[in-house]
Amino acid sequence: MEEKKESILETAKFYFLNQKYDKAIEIYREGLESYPDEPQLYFNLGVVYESINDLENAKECFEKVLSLDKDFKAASDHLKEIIGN
Amino acid sequence: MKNNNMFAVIGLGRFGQAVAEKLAEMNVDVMAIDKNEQRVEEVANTVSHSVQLNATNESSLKEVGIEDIGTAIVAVGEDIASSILICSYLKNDAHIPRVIAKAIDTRHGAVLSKLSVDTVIYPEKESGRRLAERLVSKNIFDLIDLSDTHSIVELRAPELFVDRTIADLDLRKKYNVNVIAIKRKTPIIDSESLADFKEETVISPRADETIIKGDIVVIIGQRKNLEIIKNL
Repeated sequence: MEEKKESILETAKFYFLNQKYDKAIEIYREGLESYPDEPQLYFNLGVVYESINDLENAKECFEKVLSLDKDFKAASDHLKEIIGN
Repeated sequence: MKNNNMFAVIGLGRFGQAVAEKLAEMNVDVMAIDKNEQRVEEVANTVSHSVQLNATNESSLKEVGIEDIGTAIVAVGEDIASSILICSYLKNDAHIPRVIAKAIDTRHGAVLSKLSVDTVIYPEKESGRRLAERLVSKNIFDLIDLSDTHSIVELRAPELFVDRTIADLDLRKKYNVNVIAIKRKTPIIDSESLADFKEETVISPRADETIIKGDIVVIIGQRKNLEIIKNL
């Protein structure tokens, strides 16, 4: 199980770092079908959306992270930044 | 002797205070003036000079050396009579080279223009217009009007721009507009596999610069042409 999650994170990371954002979004979305309660996947997906200035989807992702883990500081920081805009 | 680098901000309401603080942040020599002691105190630690006085009193302004100022920003918009008196003195008696005044409506603005005020601004009207633009179009991040006909707009790069170079897009020839900067978020992943990005701005991008999905392009041009770009 953990191995599959790692593989999702690694693959999406590859696309994200190469600025292939649509592909990274697709991988994270697929990953969330298997791990719907995984805050890290939602967080990374939120950052991808934020990177392409799709702030509505980014906001939704960060809110989801905080509903799963209210102490996820990076998510609340990003959410504050978006709401401030 | 006039010091063109010295600015005066008269009236320290929300707008005047923001202008004074921003100028000070950019290391500009600012004299901040208001008749309200508390407002003067609020900026005292930020600006180089802060003075409490009634700016409709010409001799008080003279005493603090207003005649040496290069640029004066009159931000006492709500009190139209005071705004007119101050602008008249600054422009016609103190001979300040550049006077910028805030107006609350077009009639107030018309009077200020007749007094030879160099620039009349309508902050509320402008911020309202910006807000409306941003609300209606998700792709607009900022808008600055340079004149009645020209603006600078920050917008999310239309899909049509993505993966193409500035030269390839040829916006200058096609739409008579210029890309003056690109704001970009460069992806990074930290040691715990958390995604993040760092923000960078490419100023005066070269012709071979490629637009990446998510880039915000800063474009200058005639408003009618920018409208076309916004709708691409």
